[in-house]
Amino acid sequence: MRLGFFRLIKLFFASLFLQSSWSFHSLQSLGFLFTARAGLDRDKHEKLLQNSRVFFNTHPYMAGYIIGAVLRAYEKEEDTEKIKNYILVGQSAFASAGDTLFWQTIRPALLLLAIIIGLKFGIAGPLLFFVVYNILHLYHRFTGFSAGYKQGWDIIYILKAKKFTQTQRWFENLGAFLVGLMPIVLQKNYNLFFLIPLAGIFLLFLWKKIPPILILTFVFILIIINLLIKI
Amino acid sequence: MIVLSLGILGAIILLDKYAIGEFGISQPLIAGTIIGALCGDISAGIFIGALFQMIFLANLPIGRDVPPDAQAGGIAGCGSYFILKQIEQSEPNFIIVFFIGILASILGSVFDISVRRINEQLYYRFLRNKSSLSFYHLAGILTSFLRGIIIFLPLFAIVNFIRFPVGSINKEFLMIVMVALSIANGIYLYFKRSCFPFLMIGVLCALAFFVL
Repeated sequence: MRLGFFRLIKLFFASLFLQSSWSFHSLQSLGFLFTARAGLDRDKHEKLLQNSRVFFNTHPYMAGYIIGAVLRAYEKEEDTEKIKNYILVGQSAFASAGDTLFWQTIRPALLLLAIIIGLKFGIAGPLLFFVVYNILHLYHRFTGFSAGYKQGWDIIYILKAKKFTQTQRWFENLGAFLVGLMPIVLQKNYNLFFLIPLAGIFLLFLWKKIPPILILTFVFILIIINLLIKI
Repeated sequence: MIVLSLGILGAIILLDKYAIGEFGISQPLIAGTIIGALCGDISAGIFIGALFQMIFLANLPIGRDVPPDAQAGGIAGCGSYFILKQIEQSEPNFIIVFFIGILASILGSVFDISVRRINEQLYYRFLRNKSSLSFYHLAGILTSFLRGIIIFLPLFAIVNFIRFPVGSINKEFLMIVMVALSIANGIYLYFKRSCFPFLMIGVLCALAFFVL
């Protein structure tokens, strides 16, 4: 079973709006219905909309894998309750994998790289982030639909595939290396005496789950102390 | 005029946060580059964007959590820098830029919750009229755009019309604090035994840079 090219394009563009109407109650439900409808034949739209109380929330770049499997289930006219149960299991697994892979690993690592290159060499840093990040993100958005459609509910096993685990390990190592390299954005004549103790204090705040607003308040206090010392 | 154009531009860039695409252009570094390019000083845009990016590096939007809005903070910080630069015709005061950015990130998360509540009403309306799926779903783009306008226009107007009698911060000090924050954020994200050798290689390379 394969998705046609034009249907894939339609699904891809609809998926760019997946989170447009995100809300606390319905989560991505409207986005899910909007995207899935773009991939279904007209005669199946009614059945999809009847099923509109399905709660959908997953990582936006990974949604294609589940929506692809859902399209296949609707075309095979599977039972609605069964589809709802599979969506429930699939969305959590892909949300967790996507959050770890993209939000916690790839994006910060590429941003660190972009900050270092950007502060040293200008526009090359932001451009590099934009190109590499979107190649990776669009790859998952685009191939997710066809992989989900092809494999059906077995798509969940794709999360164990080497391409996920290896990509994650590779970017974790890159991120760790760049964290160590980060001080090079400072100039050689700067007084670096406070850098390590300050980083230690901030790290302690993060590990103790201190709210971000209090960490920012601490930064403000440091700035005010700096101003007072100058006066 | 600059207040209005930067407000609208900021609201458009902010749509990328989750309403359209999520290509990463709303990340402070990229948003700063875009605003800097349009205001005629790309390197200043990259610098301000990088500062805000370092603050919010580990700002993770996981599950239903609504953390401070890093994207709104970065855009507001960059926008206020260029507004001040146009008024003062010299290097703007970083304390004001920093303060406006942080304020925008807090306001951003507050209005994010409001937008999600409004979107909830759109969902209930859809349940009563299921034939209008596209209308109610895409109306979410308008609510997100208005969120951006509501955050940026008043803040940029304040920066444009009110003079703040505060001393200017030492750029060296600001950079050290931000780099310390980004290192803490990075270690928090990549603290794993398998990553440790790579962290040490990075530290050695940085040491080599300072010594040689």
